[in-house]
Amino acid sequence: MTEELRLGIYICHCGLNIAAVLDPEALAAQGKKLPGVRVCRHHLYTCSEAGQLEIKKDIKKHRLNRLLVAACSPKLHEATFRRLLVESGLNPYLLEMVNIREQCSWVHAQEPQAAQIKALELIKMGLAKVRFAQPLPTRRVPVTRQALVIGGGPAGLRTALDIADAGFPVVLVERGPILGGMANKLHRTFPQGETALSLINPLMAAVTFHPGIRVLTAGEVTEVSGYVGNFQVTVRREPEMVTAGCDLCGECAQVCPQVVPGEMEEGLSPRQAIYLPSPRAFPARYVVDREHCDGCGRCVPACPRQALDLAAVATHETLSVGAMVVATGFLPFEPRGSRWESWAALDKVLTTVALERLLDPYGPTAGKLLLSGSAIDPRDLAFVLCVGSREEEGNRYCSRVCCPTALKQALELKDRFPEARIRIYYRDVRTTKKDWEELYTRARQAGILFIRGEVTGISRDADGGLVLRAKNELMGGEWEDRLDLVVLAVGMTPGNGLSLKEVLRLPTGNDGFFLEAHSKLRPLETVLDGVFLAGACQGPKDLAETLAQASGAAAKVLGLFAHEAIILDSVICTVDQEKCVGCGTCLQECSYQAVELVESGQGRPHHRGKDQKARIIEAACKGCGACAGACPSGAIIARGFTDEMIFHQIDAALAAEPEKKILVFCCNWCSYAGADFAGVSRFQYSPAIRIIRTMCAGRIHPKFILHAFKLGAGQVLVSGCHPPGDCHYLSGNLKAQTRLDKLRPKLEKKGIDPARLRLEWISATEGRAFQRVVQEMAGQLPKAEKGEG
Amino acid sequence: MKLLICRCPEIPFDLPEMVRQLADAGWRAHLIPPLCTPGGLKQASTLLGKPGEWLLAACEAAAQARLFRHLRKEPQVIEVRGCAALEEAVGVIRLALESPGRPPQATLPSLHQAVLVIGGGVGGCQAALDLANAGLQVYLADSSLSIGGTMAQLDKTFPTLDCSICILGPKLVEVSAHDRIELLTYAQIDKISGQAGSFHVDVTLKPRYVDMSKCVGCGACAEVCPVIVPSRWNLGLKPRKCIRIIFEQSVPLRSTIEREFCIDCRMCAEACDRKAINLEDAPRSRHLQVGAIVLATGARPFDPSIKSEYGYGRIPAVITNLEYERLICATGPTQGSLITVQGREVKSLAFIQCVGSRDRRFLPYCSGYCCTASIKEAVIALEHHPGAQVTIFYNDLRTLGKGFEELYRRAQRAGVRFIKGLPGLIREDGDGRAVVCYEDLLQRGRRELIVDLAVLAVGLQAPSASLPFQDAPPERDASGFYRTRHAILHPLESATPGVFLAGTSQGPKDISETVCQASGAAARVMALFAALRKAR
Repeated sequence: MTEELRLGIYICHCGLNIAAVLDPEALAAQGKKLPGVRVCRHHLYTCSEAGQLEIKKDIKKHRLNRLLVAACSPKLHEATFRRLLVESGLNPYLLEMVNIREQCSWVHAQEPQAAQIKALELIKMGLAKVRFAQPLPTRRVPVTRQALVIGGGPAGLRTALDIADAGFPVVLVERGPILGGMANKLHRTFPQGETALSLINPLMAAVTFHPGIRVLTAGEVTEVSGYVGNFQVTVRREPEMVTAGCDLCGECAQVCPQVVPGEMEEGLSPRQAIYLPSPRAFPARYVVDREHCDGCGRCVPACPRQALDLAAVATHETLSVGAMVVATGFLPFEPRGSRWESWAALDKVLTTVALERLLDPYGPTAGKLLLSGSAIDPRDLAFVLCVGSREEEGNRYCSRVCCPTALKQALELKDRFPEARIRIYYRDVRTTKKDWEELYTRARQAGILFIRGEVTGISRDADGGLVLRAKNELMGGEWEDRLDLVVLAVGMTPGNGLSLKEVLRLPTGNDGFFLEAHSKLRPLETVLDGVFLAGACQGPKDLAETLAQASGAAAKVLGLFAHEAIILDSVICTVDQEKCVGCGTCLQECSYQAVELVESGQGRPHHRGKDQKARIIEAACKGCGACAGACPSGAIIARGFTDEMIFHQIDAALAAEPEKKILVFCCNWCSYAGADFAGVSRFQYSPAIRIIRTMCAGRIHPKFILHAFKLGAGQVLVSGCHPPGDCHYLSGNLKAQTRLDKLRPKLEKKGIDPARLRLEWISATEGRAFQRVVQEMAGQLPKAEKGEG
Repeated sequence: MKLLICRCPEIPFDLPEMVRQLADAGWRAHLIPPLCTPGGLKQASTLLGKPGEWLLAACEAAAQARLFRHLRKEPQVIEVRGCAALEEAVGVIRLALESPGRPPQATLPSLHQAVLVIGGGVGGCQAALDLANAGLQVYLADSSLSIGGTMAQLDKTFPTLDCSICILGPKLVEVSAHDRIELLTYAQIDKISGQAGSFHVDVTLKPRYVDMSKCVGCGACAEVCPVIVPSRWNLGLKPRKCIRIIFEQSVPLRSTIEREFCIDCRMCAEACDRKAINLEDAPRSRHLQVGAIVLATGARPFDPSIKSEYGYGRIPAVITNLEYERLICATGPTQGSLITVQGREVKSLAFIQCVGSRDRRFLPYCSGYCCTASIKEAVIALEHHPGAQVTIFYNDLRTLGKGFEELYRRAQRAGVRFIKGLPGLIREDGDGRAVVCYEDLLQRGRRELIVDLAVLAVGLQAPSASLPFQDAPPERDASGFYRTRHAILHPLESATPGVFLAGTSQGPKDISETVCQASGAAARVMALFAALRKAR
């Protein structure tokens, strides 16, 4: 470092979030004495305008050239303080955030003294790192102003329309043969009871005929590369066996010998292997169900328009897009294969989705209540709520829409069969939205009976009727109910878009739905810049919420498209040409072909040799540091996470009582976030933990681990994303695994018990797993010392 | 003029009868399957392809979908779904048929590509940011001294128990630092006229008696001010000076004198080394021209003193949930200690749900947020005092957001007691504690529970004040919330074109729903501007 270090340290109380456990004033007093520190202050809320103003003043007055903020997780406020540096005329990368909230005060609430000592050590570790921080150059890249919307249900339709109406081209990819998604199965909506057709079909038609929207049905996103503003997306399209010439005459289906239950009608009516997916949806064209088609070819001559081509093959198309909106929706909970299987298998037990089809004039029975061909005139019928929702095991969440759906359907049945006695078995009636409570009131006024209690069984009695047994919590005791129709109000499950989890590396939460960047303030964004969420793929939602959120996702895309170019993160790798020996190890390690070997003098690609040097192709580099984690000569500079930074962090972490410390290397995306989640959840663990953050577990060079053990570290943990698919850099986690496997025998040779080194996969939502792993490791630390604390 | 009638499932009349009546009047009508289905569209396209003027009896959505843009001339569309009876629908159609030609197009106003966002809570801030990020000029007006709204007053947010101001603070700073957003705080909207594309808005900026350009928010003035009044921002629970910065993270971070209480001692003027105090400050007027307005005016908490059986206002141990939020917040009256304002330690608490909500006498709807908020507050109470007795009285527990059910379970595991049954009465015992009288509907029997603090989870109600719209004020529903143009299809637009809705101005919502809506409203504004640009 050429210039003199002039550091400012700011310790945040975060109200009482930090100050209830730690003493920021004492930390500030100690911080002041550290080398290179010009100012050290504590503030009630450092992130507030007042807190930031104070820092800005200090930067000016004391000509600070590095900043250390000891507060919450960098995931929360790194951007805030980087912006502050820019506004103060400094490079944004001259900042280090020290996480004394999620990883100290929140997780050591019962051990304030140990936490205080740890906090000071964390600050020293941060100081050791920020000393070596260098200004990083900004990278501006152009934005491709075309959007990809994945999913053609209501959310995808609304998002696509809002983006296209603002003047930007949109490609909409839908996996199924038609647009409309689950709305095609819906007859009426709540709370007003309008038909889904009258609400969603105009959107569908508008998207179909919009000049700015290309619809790719029967398409699936199979590959995504690139980054915000510049994604390359490969879409695979199923063979187009029925061409645009189809005029819906239906001759083909009449000759088709294959008959299967139709999924659009919930199996209530059969269809052929060549069929019209829905009479009310776009695009209107017959399709071939390739799974069931045996290729007999009878349909081909039957088609009067020669629109059939059974030899068609799947096609692939690559698109350039600047932003993506994931709107893959949900699947209704499927009772088959669950503990409700035996109920659902009974005759005259339906799901709410199947009932919706029966009530729909466009449905299999043209809106008549027919089961197996015979009309039913229900005298006694019941709805069972929370089927597949709020379970102890399985789907633990509330699906939001089942209560109003059941109320809506019960009211419609009551309207059609005024004599019917309808009851609803519930746990809590959750009609929270403005007009939903009205629906509940109307249902009670209509004489529908609400019984609070768990349904314990449904079976068939001797005369073919149904017997439902339930606990009646309000009246007390068990309850037996004779019925002739039971409707299971099934919840929502994720499902449709899950392949995107792998393709996009998009994380999901504990509930299996896609995870937003922040539950409160960034509900539409994901951890991936330029990828947004709309609708029920993010969690159960009703139609109004879905459409509002879909417009919101469009706003995010439009915000991105308002600019011709955007600025990318500068944390990428470079090569120290003097240290590089041209061995080419980095070439093999890089998953992005971002390294090339060049003639040392001229910069021209050549065969490997002594005078070769590695060079990073900056536009392709993602900054994971996998190359640096393998470089035998320490020639690769992983910006923001350099060797010298990490070595000094290790030194600072293990300066005192190293044998009582557990050094943890966490990858930025999964494990560091997992540790943060443990903090947010207040899962308590040992204060022996010292976390060093890197972008990827693949960044961890074995030399760091050896160094830590040389200094006497008690235990070392390397933690990354779950293999194979969770890693944000394709396979950095597996690279770490390979390196650690090779390292273990070496450790043994050096007389270090390899059991002191652990590798664990911890995702962003596995706070509990993080706690368990570090607690197990803490249990392995030398015990004799424990009594003293 | 020829006529097509869409067989829309939403038209509540007997359509063949309608065709007969029109035939009697000499008009031949074609009845086609719903226009928004492939079958209907195909039939309509074929018919419309024939020469001549066509009238479509269909819905507004069909008109907007612009399904026939491939034709040389799109047909005129009239909406009959809203008609009260068949005769009215026939009348409306005949009127349109017999007076052919499109309704005269109103001359398009000039489009002002700027947006006024009214209300600076989290919804207003998000809408302003999304609009400004997309390149539009935004005015963000708030009647308060600072933006931030109710979220700034909360201690923590559910379900993750994030510190509320910590996550909101940066957003407020981002708003104030954005070069396309002009903040108009302490603002009063005097008049709104005009229409979509061109609204004229008169705004008065109330005097702060402090020069905003000179003040740096150091707070030296408040230190010397001798006048002490209750802090309304802390719901009257904490004293403050007559000159003060409204709260620590306030944006803008500027002092303001509340002139009503000022005694003209001028001590603040002496203490201010920036000479920012100006006791002669006067209101200033602004005139704004904007193309769209986003109403993010929020909701207000139900006043529980009307529900007199709970003793709010009479019994000091009965407080509202917002007061509780201030009480447990580090910047609140007790510096975050869970003690009553009177200084008594709190070892037992009761949270009472549905205060005002789901009550025909007051708010007929469910306010949605309160169950999860109370569970969060109960969990925080246990964090403050691990041994505390915490009870939640509920009717139905409605934890239906992402991660909410998990929070409910966490509270159950942590030892929070849930009792089904809402108290009928709260009275005070001799020690100033609250006696909650209730009937446990699951265990049965009338009981009493004595607690140090009873926290009322009050519902959200629409603000009483209305905005001074000169023409076509946005409609409100029976509860006073702004009515959306359509509950499902247009959840972000008011019935007045060009006026959009974000957050609780439209009905109770939690923070993430508000934020989603705000971004959505921004997208709809952009779509409106794009349409207006195209039309001109």
